This record gives sequence, C-alpha cells and structure tokens, in this order.
Amino acid sequence: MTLPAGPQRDVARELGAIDFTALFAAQVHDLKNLLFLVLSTLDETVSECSGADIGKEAEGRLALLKYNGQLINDKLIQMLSLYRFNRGPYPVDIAYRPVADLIDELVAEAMPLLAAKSITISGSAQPGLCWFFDRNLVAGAVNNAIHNALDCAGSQIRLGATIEDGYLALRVEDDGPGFPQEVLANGGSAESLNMSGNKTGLGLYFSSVCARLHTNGEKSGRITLGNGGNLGGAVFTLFLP
Amino acid sequence: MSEPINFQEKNFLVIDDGPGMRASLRTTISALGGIRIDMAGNGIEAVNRLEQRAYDIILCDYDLGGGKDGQQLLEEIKCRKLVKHSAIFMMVTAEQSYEKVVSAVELAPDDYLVKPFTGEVLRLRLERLAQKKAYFAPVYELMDRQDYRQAIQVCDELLKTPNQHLVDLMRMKAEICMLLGDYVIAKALYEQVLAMREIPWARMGLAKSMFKQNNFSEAAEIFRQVTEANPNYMEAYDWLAKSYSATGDEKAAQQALMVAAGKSPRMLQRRKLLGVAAYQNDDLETAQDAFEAVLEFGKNSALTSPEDYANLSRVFIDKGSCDQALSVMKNARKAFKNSPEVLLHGAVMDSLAYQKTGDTKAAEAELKKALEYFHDCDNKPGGVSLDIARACFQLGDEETGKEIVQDFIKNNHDDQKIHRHAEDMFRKIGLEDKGKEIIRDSSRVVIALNNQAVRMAQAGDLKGSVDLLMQAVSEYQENTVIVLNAAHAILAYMQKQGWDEELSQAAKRYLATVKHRDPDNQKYLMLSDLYKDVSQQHGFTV
Repeated sequence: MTLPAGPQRDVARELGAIDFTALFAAQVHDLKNLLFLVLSTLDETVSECSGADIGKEAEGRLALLKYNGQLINDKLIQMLSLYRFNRGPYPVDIAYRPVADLIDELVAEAMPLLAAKSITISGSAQPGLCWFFDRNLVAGAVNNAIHNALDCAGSQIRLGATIEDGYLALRVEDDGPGFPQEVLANGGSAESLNMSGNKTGLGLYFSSVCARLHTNGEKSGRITLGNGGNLGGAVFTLFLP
Repeated sequence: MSEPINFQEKNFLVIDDGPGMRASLRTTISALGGIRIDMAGNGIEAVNRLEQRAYDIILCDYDLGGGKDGQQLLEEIKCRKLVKHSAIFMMVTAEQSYEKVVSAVELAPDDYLVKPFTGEVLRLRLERLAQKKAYFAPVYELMDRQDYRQAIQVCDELLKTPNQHLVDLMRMKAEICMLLGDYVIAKALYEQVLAMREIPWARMGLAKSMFKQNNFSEAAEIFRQVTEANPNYMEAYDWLAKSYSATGDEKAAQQALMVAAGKSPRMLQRRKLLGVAAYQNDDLETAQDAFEAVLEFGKNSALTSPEDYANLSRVFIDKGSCDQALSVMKNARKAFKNSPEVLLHGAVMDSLAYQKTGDTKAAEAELKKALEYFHDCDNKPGGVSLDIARACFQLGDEETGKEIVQDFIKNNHDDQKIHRHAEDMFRKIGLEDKGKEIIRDSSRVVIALNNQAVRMAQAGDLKGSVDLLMQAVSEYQENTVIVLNAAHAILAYMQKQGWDEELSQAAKRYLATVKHRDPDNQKYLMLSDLYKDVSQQHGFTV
C-alpha cells in the first residue's frame, strides 16, 4: 500500500503508533459499563411494567432486549478476560467449594434470560460434593455453554456434575439439534477461531482457556463437546482436575 | 442447601462512593426483605458508622474513590475489631479491580461479588455465608475469649467429620497454632493442604511457619517464589522483606518493599517500613520519598503520628536541609495541636537541626526542653529515645546520652531490631564501637539478672527468684520479657508454696500490662492459662 501524501500521511502515521489492543480493551471496558446502565434501566422498566398490562408482545420484546443485552455483556466480559489472561499473570483463586452451590448460582443467573425463550433450566449435583476450583473462571466457562444452549435448545437445559477419572465433570446438556460437525471436530481450539465470519468461536475458546487455567500437579482442565447425552442434543463438558 | 435468612432482622451497611450504586444496592437489599440499611460514601463515613452500630452484613465496594480502598478499609476494621466475627463482610468489585480483590490473602473479605450481579445471587451468597459463620461460631467464640487451646480442640472435633469447610478448618487451626507458637503443627497442616492443592495462602503459611522457626533464608526463598507466581500478593512482599531483614540483608529488604510500594502506593504501613529500611541503608532520597508519602497520604486520617514527622525531619537533618527539618516539626505541632508527644519529638528534632547548622545555643535550649518533656512522659514513644540520645552525644553530654540508651536497651534487651536501630544511630554519629559496647553491656545486665533468677529457681529458691524479678520489673517496666518472667516466677512459686494474695495480684497486674501491649504474645497466652490452672488448684475460679 502506498501512503497518501501530506496531512493524510500524518494521520496514518499517528494511527500506526497507537496500541490498538490496549485502546480496544479500554473501550470494551467503557462499553460494558454503558451496557450495565442500559440493562439497569431495562430492569427498572421491566419491574415498572410488571403490574401494568402492556400486552404479551411488548413483554416478549422486553425479554428479548434483556436476553440480547446479557449476551453482549457476556461477550464483552469474555474479551476483557482473555485480554487480562494474556497480560498475565492472572490470579487463579482456587478454593474448596461445594459444587451444588455453584450449580444453584449458575441456574439463578440464567433464570432472568428464560423469559425470552420457552425453555426450562434445571441443575443438580450430588449433595456434599466439593471440589477445588476458581468460581469466576468456571462460571464464565459454563455460562457460555448455557448461552449456546439457550440459542439452540428445544425446551430444556440440564446442568449436572459428576466425578470422572479424578476430574470434576460439569455438564450442560440440551434437547436441540446438537453441535454442527465442524464445531464437534475442533471447537474451543485456537485454530478454530474465525476472525472473518460472523461466528468467531470465541465463546468456546474462552471456555477452553478457563478450563486450562485450572491445573493440579501435572493435570490440567479441558472441555469436550458431544452430541446425544440424556436430552439428545448438545453436550458440553468442563473437566476440572 | 442453604437456610433462608431473615433479612428483616439484619443491620446492613452499604459502602460505595457512587450514589447511583448505593441506591441500586438499597433496592436489591430491600427486595430481599432487608429494612435496616445504612449507607456510607467513603471509608471515614464507614468507620464512623461502624463505631456506632454493630452491623451483621457489610457490602463494600472495592473502589471507594480517592481515599482508602475497600481492602484498606477492611484491614482497618479487622485491626480495630470494629465488627464481630459473626458479621459478614462482602467485597463488591468492578471487573477491573477483581484481580486486586482476590489477591488479598491474609485479610481477605468473607466473599466477593463481581458487578453486575443479580439480587438472587446476592441472596444465595449471603445465605451460605451465614451458614458458614454459624458453623464456625463455636471456634470464633473461643478465639474472641483468647481460649486458643480449646479452639483447637473444637477444630479437631469438627475435622473428624468430612465436610465442605474442611480446608477452611485446616487453615483456621493452622492460624491458631501459629498464634500459640505451635509452628511444627502449623507447618504440617499447611503441607497437608498443599498436598491436596497448590494454594497461595497455604504456601505463605508454610513459609511463615519456617520464618517463625528462624529458617529465614528458606522462608525468604518461598516468599520470593510466591511473589513471582502471584505478583499482586502484597503480603508476600512484606514477609519477603522481613525475611531478608532477618538474614541481615537490608538492601534486599528495601528492594522488596520498593516493589510493593510501587504496586500499592497508598499502603502507609509499608511506606513507613520502606522509609525505615532506606534510612538504615543511607538511601536518603528513597527514605525522604517514603516518609513524605506517609504524611501526604495519611493527611486527614488518624493513621499518622508525630513519629512520622520526626522520621522525615531526621532525613532532612542528615541531608543538611535543616530549614526543611524545622518546618516539618512545625507542621507536626500544628497537626497534633501541641500534644505532649509532639512537643517532645519537636524539641528533639529541632535540637538536632540547630546543632547541624552550628547554632549550638539554640540546640542546647531545645535539648533542655526535650529532656524535661522526656522525663515527664510516662509512655515514651520508642524512637524518641535514640534521637534524644543522639542530641546529647552530639552536644557533648555523653553521660545523659549513655543513660538514655542504656535505659532503652535494658527495656528491650532481646529485641534485635531495636539493637540494630541503636547501632545505626551510633554509626551515623561516628561512635560505632562505643555504641556497640553500650548496647552489649546494657543487654548483658538484664540477661545476667534473668539468668540469676533462673538459677535461683532451679536451686529451689523460688521466693528469691520472685523477689529478684519483681525488683527488676520496677526498674524495667517496659521490658515485656522481664514482666512475663516475673509473672511466671510468681505462678511457679504459688504452685509449690500455696496461694499468696499479694503476689497473685502482682502476677495479674503483670499479665494485664502485657495483654495491653501485645495481646497475642505467646508467652502471655501460655501464662494466662497457667494462671487459671494455679487459681483452680487453690480453689479459685477465674
């Protein structure tokens, strides 16, 4: 590319000196804060409308606004988090926690989104089951899977936890059509990131990074994707050492 | 499953600098059923509130605008015991402060929430925390009563049944063992946790148990590794500096503190330590920066003392900037409204400053004032003794200077840090050898006396040992070791010879003195247990 002459070249040179990664990170952060204000106003509106009869359609539109707003919020958080991991070292806050508490929280966080879809969500874990993990990272990874499921499920999503081969396996299952073949093949890997299409695959990659930040001796976390399971749809599993 | 809490009965305190966020949290809490909700917009307001009312649930934003941040506020609250052990302290954080919040290892909040969060998640978290607090309540209660042995027994009892609080219980037991000086048990507990999982607080605990067993270089190596793996763990730098200092490497100690001060510039205590270390290393520029920062950031808070001004004045004097030294103490007198303590520090530092400019007459006049204040002062601030001795030596009154140092050392005969400071003072005025001799001789007097008391007790002359030590207490009231040994001797005597009302009162008084000075002193804890045993042995209940 040949640079245009004069003032335009100065602009180009100036832009060339900007650290866009840092700039984008700061802007994404600002966007997230703005979005928070939008979502708070939306929540207030929803609660003001809850008594009044605004009609089914308007209710549905409000729910959809909330749903999409939350998706944007979570995507922004994923980007910011990946940026932080990269800048490192990231303090992984490993603590010994009851798995049932985590599942309760994940279900509670997903509840407000369900109004936009006719989908139910349920979760269960063996009582007394405890594990070492970073709550924030795990919530980030599983929330992403729940959002995927909300997009694809027919009518239900189920969260479960078991111990498999010395790993805690957190599973998100739905009754939708399942993951497409190319996602099953390498979803979650850095190679699968697609910067040009409209599906970047960033969400699954983020989940995979959250999993891998969990290490225990030689072992580290991972995610697996499959189809079938108890509900016949997509099965996302987060394995934590 | 968590038990529901009756939020209606709880006192909430919301601390946030943004009015919008405060309003939003109030709405959230109200939706949970809470009605008694107080608000504070900054750390100072929060402390005022906490002094007036016992809160059950505190929601505190990490970022509180210009002043203290949430973590510093939490440290002040815990340090001043402004909340009960049963109170819940929840840190609320924006996503960009999250890393700092989870990096607080030692004085961590009960839990944290990343904004934005839903009311439902807040409710779930609070219910679980209430449940956890209830589970630990018996241990907390014993700890509040300083009944640490019993608290360990309760931990052991709870550890018998596997449960979700297993790791927290092990941590708590290890911390109590550290308080009691059971370092070997504490170390084993931290190793047990580390065998399950690499967790930074456990690694820190392991290193601290080594430090306490005087394995300073091994401890330093682990602290260094912790700072490397977790560069935001501020406590690790403090302990790293302490470990280097204990091995005599003041330069490395200063370096560690400088890294930490760069990361959290507003931590006054650390700045102070940095200033002291730099001053000892003759790095006057760093010392000046550090002490100036202490005064600057500590402005309008109760966290500075006249001694902080004296520290800065001393640096200016050594640099030859005597006008600045005088003006610092002038500001000090204004800030502390001519309190006896500031007048004492002021007179001493002014004397040193005048002496440096060659105005011997003014220096002598100030020293005379200083000595009067010094003798009238019951509670002599530690550092002032060395400054006043320095003024005496420099103005040619060696006798008085020597007496003051002797007295200071005799009251701190086993405190290596104080000995080093004293040596340093002598070095700076060119009397290194003479100083060492005075320090050594002074501490030897007390050591000899102490040894004599031990020999008498071993030879069966328990009463003689008691008399000797009680005499020593009247001479060296500030010496915690002597005061405790006197109490110990009395208790040993009464175990053998029976109850003596007058002596028992003396022992009680001695123990109370130490409790006031250093409530977690290990020997004090041990002796207060012994006091109970001896009283019971003679039919008294305490």
